[in-house]
Amino acid sequence: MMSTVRRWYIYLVSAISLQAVAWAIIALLRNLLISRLNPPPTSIAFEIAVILVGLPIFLAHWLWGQRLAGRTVEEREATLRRLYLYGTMAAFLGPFAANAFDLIGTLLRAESTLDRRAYGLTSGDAVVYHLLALLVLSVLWFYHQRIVAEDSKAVPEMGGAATVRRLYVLGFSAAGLTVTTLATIHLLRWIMLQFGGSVVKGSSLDVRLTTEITRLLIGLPLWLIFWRWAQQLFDGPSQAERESALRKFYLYGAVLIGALSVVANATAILADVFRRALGLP
Amino acid sequence: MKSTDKFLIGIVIGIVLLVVAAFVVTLTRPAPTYQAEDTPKGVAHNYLLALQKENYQRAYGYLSPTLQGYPASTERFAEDVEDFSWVFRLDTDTTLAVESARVTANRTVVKVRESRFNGRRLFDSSQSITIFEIKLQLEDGEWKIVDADYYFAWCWKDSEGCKQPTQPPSDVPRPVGAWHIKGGRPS
Repeated sequence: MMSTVRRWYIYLVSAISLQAVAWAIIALLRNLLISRLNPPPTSIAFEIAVILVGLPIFLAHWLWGQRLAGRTVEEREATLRRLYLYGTMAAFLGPFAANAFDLIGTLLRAESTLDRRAYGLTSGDAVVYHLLALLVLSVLWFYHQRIVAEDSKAVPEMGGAATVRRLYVLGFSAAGLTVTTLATIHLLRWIMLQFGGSVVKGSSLDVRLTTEITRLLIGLPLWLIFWRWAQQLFDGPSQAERESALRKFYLYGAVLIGALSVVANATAILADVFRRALGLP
Repeated sequence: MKSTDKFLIGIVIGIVLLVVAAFVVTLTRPAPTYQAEDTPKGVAHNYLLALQKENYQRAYGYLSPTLQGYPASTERFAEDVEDFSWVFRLDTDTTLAVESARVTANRTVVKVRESRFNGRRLFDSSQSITIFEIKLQLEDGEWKIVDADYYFAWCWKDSEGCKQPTQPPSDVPRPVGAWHIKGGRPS
């Protein structure tokens, strides 16, 4: 009980301070390297302050956690430790994907990216703006990935720790699948509109090609990487992996959403066919 | 030493170097100075810089006397700035950069980029950028400010000005609620 409270404290403080430091570093780098941002000195001062306060707090707590993990197996296999590691990696990977989307969108001049470009930056500035975030987030993600790999080598992930990993793997797989599916639907719609666009009324079916290509370029690798990882775990020696309820929930969830979408859209199409057959406007 | 420990040390060294670089860049950044006043951009720049330096006498000099609500004195100008503190960004830290000027005959529209630091939220830099316009007019060979989206009290364009005299002339009936406007546009 005592060690659980201690773990919560160590990893909660580590997570909060690390996120604060990470985003202060990103903001500081952007302010220093993008002249167009022209930040007030107080902005720089605040970012430096967050780093100077947050970094020692993170290091003190994280190294404390590392010392404890190095001392006992129980600490290293703790579910809370895995929750921190995978949660932190997810907190870096999510914004990484968002910045990669905006970076590719900027390079492809996707309308959706240009419409909401941060601070009205030029294309060159926007590339640097997103690259800096990608750099910082990838370095921190990679560090935590190596810690996870070390921990997994020392103590196989089982029980709660395996559940946390499954949440991470299947969560990003689901996000990638959703983005890929949406992009595919929109691209198919775009192709159809190239042949029958003249009969379509209204703009609700408008598809922005570069936006959908960007979406596909982010969603597809995300889905493939994480789904392949999930499949490797399934094909591995662990029986628990094959019997995982979370995996079944993911699969049945995907089938359910797909089936519901097919039924809803087929109904709408059929209703339209009958409406036309009955000569209704 | 484990490779992850070396990696962490590398990250920390990188962060320390970044902080040092930020200090050096910020401290060596030249302070903004007044520019030549023969262009609209120079006048707009000097007006904004004078306001930031609270040199109200100088800022007042850039305002067009043809404005209907032209403040009668530097003191009145300073009072208007205080009263419209939000418009003049007195409570926030800003940096301003004059970007471009569009000249048409004797009028010019200058675009200004304003970077503001609003708050102190831990996970958000709370930085925002606004691009606004300052309108200038050529008067007796000098560019004077006649309108602006910010750093300009709307009532300077009003025939009644920002404030009426404390004691209105006895023969003029005093309209209710229109004598003293503090801090913004009346509803």
